[in-house]
Amino acid sequence: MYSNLQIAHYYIVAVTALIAAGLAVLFTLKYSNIRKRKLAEQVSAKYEDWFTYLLANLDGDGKLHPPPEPPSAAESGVLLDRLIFWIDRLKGKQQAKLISLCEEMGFVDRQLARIESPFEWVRLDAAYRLGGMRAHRGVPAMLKLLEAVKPGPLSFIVARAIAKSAARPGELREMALKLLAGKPDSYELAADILQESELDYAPMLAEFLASEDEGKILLALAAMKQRTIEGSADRLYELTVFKRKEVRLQAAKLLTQPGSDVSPERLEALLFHRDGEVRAMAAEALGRVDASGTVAALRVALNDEEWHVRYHSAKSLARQGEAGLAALRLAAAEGEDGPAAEAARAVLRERFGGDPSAGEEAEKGSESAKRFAASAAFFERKTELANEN
Amino acid sequence: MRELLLGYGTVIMYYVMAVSLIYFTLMFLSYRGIYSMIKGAVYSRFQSLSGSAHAPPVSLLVPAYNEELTIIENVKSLLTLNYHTYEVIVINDGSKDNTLQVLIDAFELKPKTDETVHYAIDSTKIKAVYYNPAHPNLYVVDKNNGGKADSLNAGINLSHYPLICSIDADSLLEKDALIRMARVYMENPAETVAIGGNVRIANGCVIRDGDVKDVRLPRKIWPMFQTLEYLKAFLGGRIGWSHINGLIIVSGAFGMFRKDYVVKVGGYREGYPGEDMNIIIKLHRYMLKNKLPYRVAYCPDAVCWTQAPDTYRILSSQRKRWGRGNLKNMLENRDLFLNPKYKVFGLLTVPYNVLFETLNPYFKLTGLLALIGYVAMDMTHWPILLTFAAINFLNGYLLAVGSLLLEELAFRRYPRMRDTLKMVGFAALMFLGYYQLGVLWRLQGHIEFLRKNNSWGVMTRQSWNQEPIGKPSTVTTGGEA
Repeated sequence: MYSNLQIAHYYIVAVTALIAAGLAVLFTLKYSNIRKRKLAEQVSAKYEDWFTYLLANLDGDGKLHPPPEPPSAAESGVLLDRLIFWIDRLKGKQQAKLISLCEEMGFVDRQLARIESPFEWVRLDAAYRLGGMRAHRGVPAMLKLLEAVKPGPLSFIVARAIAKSAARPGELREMALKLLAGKPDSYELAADILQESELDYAPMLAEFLASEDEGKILLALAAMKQRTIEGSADRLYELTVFKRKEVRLQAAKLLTQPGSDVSPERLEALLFHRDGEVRAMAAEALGRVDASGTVAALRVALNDEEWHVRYHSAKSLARQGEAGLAALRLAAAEGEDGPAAEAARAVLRERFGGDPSAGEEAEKGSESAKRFAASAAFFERKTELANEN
Repeated sequence: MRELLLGYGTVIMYYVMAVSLIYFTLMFLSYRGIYSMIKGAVYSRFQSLSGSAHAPPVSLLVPAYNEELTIIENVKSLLTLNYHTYEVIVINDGSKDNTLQVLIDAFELKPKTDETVHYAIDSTKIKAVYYNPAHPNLYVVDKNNGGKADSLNAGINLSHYPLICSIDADSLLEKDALIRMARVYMENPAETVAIGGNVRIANGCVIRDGDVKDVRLPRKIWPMFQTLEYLKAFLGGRIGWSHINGLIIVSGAFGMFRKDYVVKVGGYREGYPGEDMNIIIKLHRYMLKNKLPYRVAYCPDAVCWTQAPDTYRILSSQRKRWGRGNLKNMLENRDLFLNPKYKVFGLLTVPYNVLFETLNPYFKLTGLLALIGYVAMDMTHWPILLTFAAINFLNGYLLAVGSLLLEELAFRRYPRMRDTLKMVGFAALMFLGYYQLGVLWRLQGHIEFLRKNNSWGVMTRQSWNQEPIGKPSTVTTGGEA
């Protein structure tokens, strides 16, 4: 028991020492952070005139000059942060002048030296700052760093720095491929990172879109939310039957978005796609189309097994004028409590506020209803065939 | 009797050693995980990302019950977040006050008739949806009272986006909180099913126009203790658990979820507190059962400020409610306990929760009784008792210092030296009664559970626009049905 007590006493001493060390580090860190904050304030105050000079001369023809007295190492950090802040928010000549200023003040050289540091956090910080300064000379070292860091939050930091600094499309491509190799599913973030670049990477996206690599295709599809690739409609349609579902959905999203030049026939074909999400997108998109077979196709889609498909089909029918509304009323009247009738009634309620038959009579015996019934039979058979496949 | 007491003493000693070892391991994992989290947060371009169409659209779900005092301010704050595409869905859960009317008046809302709600999850039927095209991303849902979980489910049924974010009506999100969460999601969208945010205590802070202008520590003792408690739990605990994908809870005050998976697991469990833990357990269960790669992540730099209870009555009511919820969740999911099929979650997280959280009051209570027995039967001496007490205190205090150090390394929200001194002091004071009260409240929560008490307890709302000096206006509300 006494030996256990001794052990306990040693443990108490050890933990107390750890607490003391922890508190010492805590207060030292606190003091250091307070000093850094005060230094930043002092530097900002000291160089206020110079900052004003820079802002006032951003639009002028002459180059920007460094401050009369070279800043110390500590002051340089604060000044560089401010310059990077402005570079990020400006474009064109203003940005270019600030970038030249960073080069002249030796900031780029200093960060190029730091990116060779044996410590990862120093290299990371250097990469971030080089990216902030759009320093093309740092790209090879940054690509090397991207290879070295573990895929995750840190790799995106380096990738973004490369995107900002790359002066050749090949560098951008290399960055994108390294990023995809480590984190293939983060294509949206990768597409956002690509946008940092001033380069024209549309040819790279076209190449990726045409490839059979899932990661490349998804990156291209994500990037196409913000930029179109000429002549991609056929490829997008092909991709709606790709083996991976995510590719199919993203391709269908681009095809069915407003402003897309997809043909009504292709949209009607997508209405029988194997993925419910694609069918729903197609149903929604058909509401913006005015074509002869649309009403019949949408009427069949009212019987889809997915609620979203039925609902969007009904909404789109409501936008097809008299023929569409007639089809909706027919579906509402004849389906009892079936899914098609439910969707039709829901949309009619939305449209007419609870009185589905308001304004028009059902055209049960009319000529248009007969033509419509014949088209509907055609599309129902098409659905059966699609399900069998 | 002596042998029994001796044996029990040995068991308790190993119990204390085990829980200390787990806490220290979690703290170590938190330190390991914080590096990439800090760098990811410091170097990310949130300003440009918040305007990016690549950021996934999000539905913010705000259940509201008797929130007329603060709801307008909160909604206005939510409508001005730095984010590209999102919607705010306020669900009025059958409030007895004027919550719905103040919203309708403030935003000039009208009933939205061209919206059909699809009930993917069972919930109380929505009576009406209110909308104004002038505020295109605000929807107000009116329904009969059904509880917080039911309100969230109703909100999910209306939501239009693939990600949902549950927010408490009294939470104040920082402007970039959503984009910070979204960044974590975007780094691994295929596997991320849920992300927890960081909840911080707003008491004592200077808040104007829905923004925390000046971060200060609370002046009152109860919120001050809770500040430290939250720091320890969030920074010292959740970062570590998320590092091994063993997080058992994402705070209901601020959590983001993949809507499709929430629907797959049947949405939030209604009718009982602890729905925030329950949904995470269900997600773990579903993903592991179906052998799907996944993670439940934690984003410590996405901050939501909340008002902590500042009276004993309100705080004890809250903690008893948490105790009830925790016990119910553990009982409902006892099949996960040490079940290797559920990997880290079943072998580590759930056993840890059962032994060191749920059963903790019983170990503490019986330990206390054993100590009394030792003294009564002259089985111990004061030096031994003091040694044991000192070890307990020092272990806990080391963890508190570790959390404060993490806070200073990574976040530095409290800029003043006197703030740090105050926290260091209060971290020690907590051992003189606050932790013991926590044990008592948990025990009382279990008793309420056994008595089938299902109420939400008592809550108080205060207006956000309060200065540290001066008395804020206060409305005390009752619990929900």
